[in-house]
Amino acid sequence: MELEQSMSRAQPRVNLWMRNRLKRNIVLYLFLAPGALYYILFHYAPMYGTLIAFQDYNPFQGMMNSPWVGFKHFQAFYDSIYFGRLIRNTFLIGAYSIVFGFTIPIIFALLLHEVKHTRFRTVIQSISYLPHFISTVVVAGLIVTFTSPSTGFINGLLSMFGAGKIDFLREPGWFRTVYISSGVWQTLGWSSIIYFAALTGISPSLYEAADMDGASRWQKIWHISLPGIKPTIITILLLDLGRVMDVGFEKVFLLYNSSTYETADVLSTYVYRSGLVQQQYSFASAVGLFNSVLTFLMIIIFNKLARRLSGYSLW
Amino acid sequence: MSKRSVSALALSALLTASSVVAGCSSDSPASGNPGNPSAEAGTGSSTGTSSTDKPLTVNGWADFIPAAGSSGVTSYNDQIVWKEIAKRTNVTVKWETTAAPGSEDYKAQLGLIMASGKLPDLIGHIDPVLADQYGRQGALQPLEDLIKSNAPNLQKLLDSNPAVKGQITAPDGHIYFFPRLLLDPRTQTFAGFMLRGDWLEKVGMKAPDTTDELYQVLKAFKEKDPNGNGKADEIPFTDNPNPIIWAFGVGSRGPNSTDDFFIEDGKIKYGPTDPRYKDALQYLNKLYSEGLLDPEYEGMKADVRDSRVMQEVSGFMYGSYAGYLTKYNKMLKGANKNPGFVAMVPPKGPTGERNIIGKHNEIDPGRGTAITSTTKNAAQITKLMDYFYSKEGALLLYFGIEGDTYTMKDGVPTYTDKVANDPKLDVLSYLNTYVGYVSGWPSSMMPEHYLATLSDEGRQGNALSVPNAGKKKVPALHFTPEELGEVQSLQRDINTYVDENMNAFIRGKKPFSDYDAFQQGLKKIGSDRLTQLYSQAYERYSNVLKAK
Repeated sequence: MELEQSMSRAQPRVNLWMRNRLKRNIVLYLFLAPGALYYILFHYAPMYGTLIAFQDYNPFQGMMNSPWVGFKHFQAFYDSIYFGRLIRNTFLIGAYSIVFGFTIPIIFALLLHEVKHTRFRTVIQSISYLPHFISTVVVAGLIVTFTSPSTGFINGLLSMFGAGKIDFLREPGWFRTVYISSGVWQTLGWSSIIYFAALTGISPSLYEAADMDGASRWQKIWHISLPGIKPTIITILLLDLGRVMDVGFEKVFLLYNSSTYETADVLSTYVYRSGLVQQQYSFASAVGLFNSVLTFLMIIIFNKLARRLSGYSLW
Repeated sequence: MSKRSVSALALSALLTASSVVAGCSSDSPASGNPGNPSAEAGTGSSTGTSSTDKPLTVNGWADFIPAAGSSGVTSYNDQIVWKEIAKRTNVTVKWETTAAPGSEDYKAQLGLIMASGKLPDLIGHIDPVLADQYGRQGALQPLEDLIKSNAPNLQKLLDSNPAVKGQITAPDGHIYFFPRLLLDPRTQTFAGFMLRGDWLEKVGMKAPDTTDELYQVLKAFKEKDPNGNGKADEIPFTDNPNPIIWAFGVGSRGPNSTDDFFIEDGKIKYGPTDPRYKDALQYLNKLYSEGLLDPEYEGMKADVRDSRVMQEVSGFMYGSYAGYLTKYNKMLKGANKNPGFVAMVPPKGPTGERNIIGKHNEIDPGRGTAITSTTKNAAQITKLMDYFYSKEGALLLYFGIEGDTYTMKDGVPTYTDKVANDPKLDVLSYLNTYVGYVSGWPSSMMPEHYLATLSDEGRQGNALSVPNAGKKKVPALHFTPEELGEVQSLQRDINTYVDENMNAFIRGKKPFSDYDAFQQGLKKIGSDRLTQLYSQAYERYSNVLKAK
């Protein structure tokens, strides 16, 4: 009884407190609103649409009338003879993309940070951004042209040095290398921007102090630069890990063919091909949901790990 | 699948779902009302020049497909055909069109329209699968009776071509769309084999008549330097080799996903499990291992193919007369090279037959027009559609206005200079821009029109292919929803498996000692069941034909 009374008395006070706070930070909340609205409208509200993964969804009948089929589409996906291969390919392409696409920009940023000639540094930096602005379709076109065994310049170079010709896009063993190295080339400059920003934020006094103590360049990188950008690194890594199973459809689709299915066929391309006859909404959603669940688990695990190992984490 | 596309899919699902609920109720009451009494009044005048006495305006919906290089025309309302047809039949169609063409956009927008419950009277460019589905739900008018009483021209065509009826009849026995017909064999044939005729002369051989002779010719092309640059750089066979598999008498999937199936002895058969398929792969493997087949054939992009032709290393390929033969000779000529590609008779395979499966069916699948069940003017619209199947109607659609876009020369309609020699647009683009979307409406395609859009070599090729094309082609089959679901889920793995193995055998990545394992694998993932499902649909088709 007493407890209840005190609760009811406390209620208005909390509301008042909240209202005050709201009033004080109204501008900040307004800043937040469009972003929040965007996520609610376009990311949270449509989520119930994933229910069609458990239906035999027919767009003409709509979600209310399409028959419920439980885990049929998940089972069908699991029963596919390509289930294991698809998961493996998707994961490996994603994982290698992170291993190289994540570490190389850091190294690049650290190296360029050491360049004292400002003009030179800006020029290099600008050049390294450029590939980011080329569309995937064009990049894929460049890769096809460059790696062609008959007319491509890469095979021209190889044969100049007496090496045999390699049909990069029709040998399953080369697909990941081509995919990931071109990806690194394309994103290197752009992804390193954030590290540059973080490096500039490190107080110069730390470097000066290190100089006084006679630290070598290597020691300065190891003991000042790297720890200085550690929070950035962890955050980016965690965000990247969230995308490990999210291998872009476009580039794989433009580069693969049936000779390289063995290493190149990923979830999204498989779903695409299966929809050739007609859109298989439910199956596509089932595969998508499966993928999202996998990704979600991965983020949670890595976030926990990161918190335990470094003290930094996303939440 | 990326998260964004999942959420986009989900969003569209949401939109469709919420509005379908609203739409369902408005479909049902109208579905039992095929035309109001005033429609019956016009039935007497069967001349086809006038569908109704009073002017009538109906609403149509379709996607608008602008011709390449055209400008200024943004809707079918602006085109000669629909203006003229309003004068001749007293029925004006007011077209609403989608902004962007593309099958996914089309499906999504049509879904929204259906769900909104505010249906137009006419729906253009619908494919048989969609028509079946909406028809089953009662959103589209069943047309059999309407055709019988209001469409004498179409009825005549149906009576004389039972195959058409089989291909437009849904599994529930109704007809839900007016088809665009390709009845003349010349209009069904669009592609064939072609080779460099000037190279043949140089190597002193005659055009190959069998696959064995083809092998000899390709070998000579490779070894005797027909392009005369002093290097043996010729890669004689460019592009996808699937059509050569057809020459062995079986089906194989080219650009069209159903061509793995073929008709033989009145039955539907599956190519990849046929013993002849192995012979074909062995033949192609021989070509590949001797460097006669382009090592980059798989997933060849158009620019690579173009460069092979322009560097004069390509001597033989299969493709459409308009997109390959005509275009490549034009390109070669433009570069001051010898425009030497000529069409050739499809080669005889080891079984002695000439077989090209690539051919259009009697119906043009994406080009049906349906009448919605909510319309009050079903009979007039049927008459309007029937006008296109008449001689005058076909002339209007495919040639335009006499004296303006065509003249009659010895009884054959011929395009005027304005159309044939437009500085910017070729014949087809000109027609599609100013006259009407030629290939978009119910009608029976006029061969005179099709031939006028081809070059001389193209016409030659067309004549060579006509006797041999499409004898084994599977007609447009209609699956029930249950069958369709099963077909799709089976084809997911099967098509991937076949593609992968076919190319592995051709490219020598797998020895032919593994062929039995390939066949067993195929059986294990359900190739027999897939064939059975196709057989069921084919049986239904045959029954419609028999039923008369």
